[in-house]
Amino acid sequence: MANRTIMMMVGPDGVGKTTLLATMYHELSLMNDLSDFEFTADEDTHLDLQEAYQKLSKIITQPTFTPTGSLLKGTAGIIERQFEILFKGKKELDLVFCDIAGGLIRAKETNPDFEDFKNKLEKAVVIINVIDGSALVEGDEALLTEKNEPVQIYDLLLPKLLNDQNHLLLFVITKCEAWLKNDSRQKELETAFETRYEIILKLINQFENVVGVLMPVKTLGCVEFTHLLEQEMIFVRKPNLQFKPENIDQPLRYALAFALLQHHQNRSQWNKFVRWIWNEDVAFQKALTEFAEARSHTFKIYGNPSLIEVTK
Amino acid sequence: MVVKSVALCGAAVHTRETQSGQDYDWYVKAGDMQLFDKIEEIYRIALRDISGEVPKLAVIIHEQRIGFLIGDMPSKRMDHGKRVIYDTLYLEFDLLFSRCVLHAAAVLLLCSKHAYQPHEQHFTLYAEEFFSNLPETQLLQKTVKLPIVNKQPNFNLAPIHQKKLALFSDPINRNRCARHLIQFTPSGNSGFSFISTGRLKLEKCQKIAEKSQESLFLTLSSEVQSEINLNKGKFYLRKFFVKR
Repeated sequence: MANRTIMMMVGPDGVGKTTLLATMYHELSLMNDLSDFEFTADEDTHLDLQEAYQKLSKIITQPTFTPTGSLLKGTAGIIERQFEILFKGKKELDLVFCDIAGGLIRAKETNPDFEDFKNKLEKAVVIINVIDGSALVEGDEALLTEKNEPVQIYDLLLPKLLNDQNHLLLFVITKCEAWLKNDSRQKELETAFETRYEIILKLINQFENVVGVLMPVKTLGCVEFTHLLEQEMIFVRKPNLQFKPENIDQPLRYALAFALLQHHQNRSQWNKFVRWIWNEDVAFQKALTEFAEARSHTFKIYGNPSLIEVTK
Repeated sequence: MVVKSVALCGAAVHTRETQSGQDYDWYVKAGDMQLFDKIEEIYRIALRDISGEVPKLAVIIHEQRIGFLIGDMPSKRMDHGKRVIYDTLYLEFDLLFSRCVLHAAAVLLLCSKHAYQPHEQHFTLYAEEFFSNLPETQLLQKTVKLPIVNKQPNFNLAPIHQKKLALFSDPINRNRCARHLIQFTPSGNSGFSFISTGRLKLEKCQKIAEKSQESLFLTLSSEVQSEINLNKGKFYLRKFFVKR
């Protein structure tokens, strides 16, 4: 039976977790440079994410310069999105992406979903913290807390990072199109992240088993933050910009490469021996290296970078 | 829309407030609800966050009560992220009114997408009224108006005989289920559940079916081509062979 790897998406409601997952999946499904690996969704997951992507792409029909709201329905509990990775047609790993209701990150023990959430978080190898970029840069402390809750995320991560398992933390910044126009704006975004997430970055640096990657992405491409109005972030549909997600495949590429690397390193002695006999390891390692090379190397890394290095 | 007033024992509304941090939950629970824990579990497993544009309904019968749930109803309210807030309404009745409740579920199954909307709006208004009058909710409205069957199902379609069955939610199977509900006679203490939902996995259908003597599911899951017997032995035997 193939191994089951859990990936957990965290972040308060409305930051764009489901949007990120739907666009990531769509982008990756268009790519044909996955080496000998195949990444497939369970049929129902495929239909769900395709449906969500179609709703998102309707943004192009919205009049320009008009304020935009969310295009997807909020999540109320924990949704398990199931995928598998095949190597040369044979299943290597079962992957479960847990998409959660944002409110769960501050849920009390009396919440019926709390136990399930804690269990899944405990088992998660990759944690994707989705961050609202506009609140990160422009918001005051109250707005930052409301939209991103870094302290709550710290509280969740602290007990988790104490176990021996290796972890990849992806800080995926959404709603940041306005800051990805040039280097100085991007630097502004990065500085805001490092200042306001200092508590988490310090935590990461304390452990050898954690690596963090900062990934600003464009989930829609054509919607930009314009101004704050009574503690409300106003986004508008820009006329000169297309619906064109950018860098959106990268979180998934990093997550999959890490999951495969951990899976490969944690094979049983017997399995390693059999693979050595049949020379399977060489082919796998070569494919994994090729796959990992397709990751962008422009992202800022925190913690132990050796955990995401794939060597030939 | 032809409706009939039916006496109510209790009602609950699952929704969210507009402010950040006030997430989806059962904000209203009023009256005497003996089946609420059961329906709450069914809702969590089989209806909440399940994609697919089909009627999201549940009917449960246990001892002397019948519960009816209608979910995923878009309200006029928006949350802090400018997302439409969806309501789910649960109504509980004395078993004496089982015929009215089962017929109401059948009406919703027989509706076209276009005809479903007025019914959905009717129940949404009811849910919103409950929600917006929270302090007064204790003074539960004594009756609720349920739709009456005004279109017969197709009696030429194959009847449902199995006690535990998952069907793919297409117009034919919705029609078969409507017919089954119209003709269903509750008997004594035996538990019955009917659920119409989106892409719900068979594993989860099975989990619910195990807790009821009779269970009927309409699902959009790709695991169900036409229909699958959820009888425990047959289900696991099938699973064994499918894996191989």
